[in-house]
Amino acid sequence: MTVLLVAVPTERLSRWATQLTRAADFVGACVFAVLFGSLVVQVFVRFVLGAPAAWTEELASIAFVWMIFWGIAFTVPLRTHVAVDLVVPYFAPRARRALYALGLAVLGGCYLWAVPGTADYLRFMMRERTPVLDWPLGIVYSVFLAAAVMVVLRCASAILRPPRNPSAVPGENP
Amino acid sequence: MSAAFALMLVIFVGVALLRGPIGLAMIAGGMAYLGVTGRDMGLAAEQILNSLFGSFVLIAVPMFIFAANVMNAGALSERIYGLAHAFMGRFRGGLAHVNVLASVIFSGMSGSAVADAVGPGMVEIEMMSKGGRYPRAFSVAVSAASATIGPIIPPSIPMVLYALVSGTSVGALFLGGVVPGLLMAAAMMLVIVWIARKRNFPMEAPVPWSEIPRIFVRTLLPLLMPVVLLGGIYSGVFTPTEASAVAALYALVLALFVYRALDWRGLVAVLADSARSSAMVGTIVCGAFVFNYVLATEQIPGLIAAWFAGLGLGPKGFLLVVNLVFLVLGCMLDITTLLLVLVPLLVPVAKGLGVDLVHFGVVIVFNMMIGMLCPPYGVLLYILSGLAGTPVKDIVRELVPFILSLIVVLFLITFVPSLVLALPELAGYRR
Repeated sequence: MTVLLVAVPTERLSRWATQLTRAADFVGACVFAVLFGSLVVQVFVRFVLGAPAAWTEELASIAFVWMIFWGIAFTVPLRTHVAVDLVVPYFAPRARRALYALGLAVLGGCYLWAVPGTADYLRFMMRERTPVLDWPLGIVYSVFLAAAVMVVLRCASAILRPPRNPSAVPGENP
Repeated sequence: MSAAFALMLVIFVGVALLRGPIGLAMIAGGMAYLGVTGRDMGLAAEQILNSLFGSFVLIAVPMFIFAANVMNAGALSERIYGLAHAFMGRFRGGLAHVNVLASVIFSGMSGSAVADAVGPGMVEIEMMSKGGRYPRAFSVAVSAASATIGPIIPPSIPMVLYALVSGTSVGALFLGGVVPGLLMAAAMMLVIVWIARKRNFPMEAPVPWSEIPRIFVRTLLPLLMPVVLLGGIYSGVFTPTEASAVAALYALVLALFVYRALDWRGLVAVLADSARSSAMVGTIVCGAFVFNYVLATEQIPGLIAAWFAGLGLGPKGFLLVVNLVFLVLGCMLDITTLLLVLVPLLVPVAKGLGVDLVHFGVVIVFNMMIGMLCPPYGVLLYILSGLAGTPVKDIVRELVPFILSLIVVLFLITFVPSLVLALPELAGYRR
């Protein structure tokens, strides 16, 4: 990771990061559109065509799961999640960073610990399929694993990255 | 309580106090619990994913978030403001009354206090402080206080979450919020009458009554949204989840085609923003699923119920204790976390004491709205302080009379259950 950071100029790296974030946001918007669209179709099919469609509810549930874990993995930075400012802001900047890093180390550690078990569970779920659309549940649920791995990486990166503004409360929105 | 359970609590509370994300911290604590007790660590994923698949009603939450975002992006707030202004501007302290009335109208379309604060709330702050007519901190305080009506008058995101953990009907909860919501507005308007007289706030040039029908027609389409939403749910035509999607579709058609205030690029931005906000709420929901699984494994709900039984409280005493505890906790903790983690522990106790669960839900959500206004963790306080550029301490000083009036209404609806239950019962709800 460090080697990569040294080899590629920082501006290009941050340009890539911006483009990736934009692409991830677009995917998030599409997943949300699928969620919304399947509910609208569900109402339309039942009232206009007079026959309920079972697949719409299932597709909505799948999109719902993807929306949450896609967000955790790729579009919602750790510091924008809901958090409590009860303790950390009262410390000096250096101590704040250390405390925030300690919390993230514990957090990332737990997710790292759970990655193998989660992967096993998904492998097992490849045998099971969703009732209506007949999609393998292992694939439907795979976004959970992506989120777990990304939480580990996000924690590591937040701990290792030098602060842009050392006096700001870590975790506070810039 | 086992050592593994204590470890989970330490991880959750520790990470949260060190400003880690609350939802992710709950999941992490649950994972550690599974690891330490030698269970399969994949159980965390299984619990979360199966619970999400089994909670179709939860999908109403992202739909309400989306509808509110569309309305805010589609400039519907300004129209609502115009209507409220035509009615209430003529009185002393008129713009403050307009602020409250506009929140009542917006509440019928949005289920989130934050959406109400950043949408119509900000429009009203700008109007009130134009030319220094009202002190800025007072304007912000009125917007913050009136935004709490959003989740009390239906639709309501917190009530959907409560319905999920308590097994009560979303429809009954929504109807139960109507009278308390109107009482809130009345209480705030009384406070404004008193303050306006004391501080000699201005009146606006009255809009002629003959103009009002024209202004009403201009706002008619957004005003029909609650009719579509609530009519759909109570007539049994839609499930609450479907109704939330229809309401969002209605807002979208208005913003895209009728008012043309939103283009396709704007729509993608609103979709992406709604996805992010919903993912943040969803994270806490997932954390609560894991957390509640561990609580059930450790048989904590039974212990809590036994503890409450040992206190020998009647239904009234129980509600009093719960109100006091949640008024304190609500000032410090996020309401989604409280609703999904602490409230499920109290639901069986309430039921055992013969407290009606719809009444209990409306009281709890109302209580949490007060917490959203109080330091140190009042979300509305911080959001509006940031957006309006007004120091939190100035807003808090102006907020005190409003908070006190809300507490009076809280105790009124707590000890007079018919204020909550009369409307649901008219619609066929049985206690």
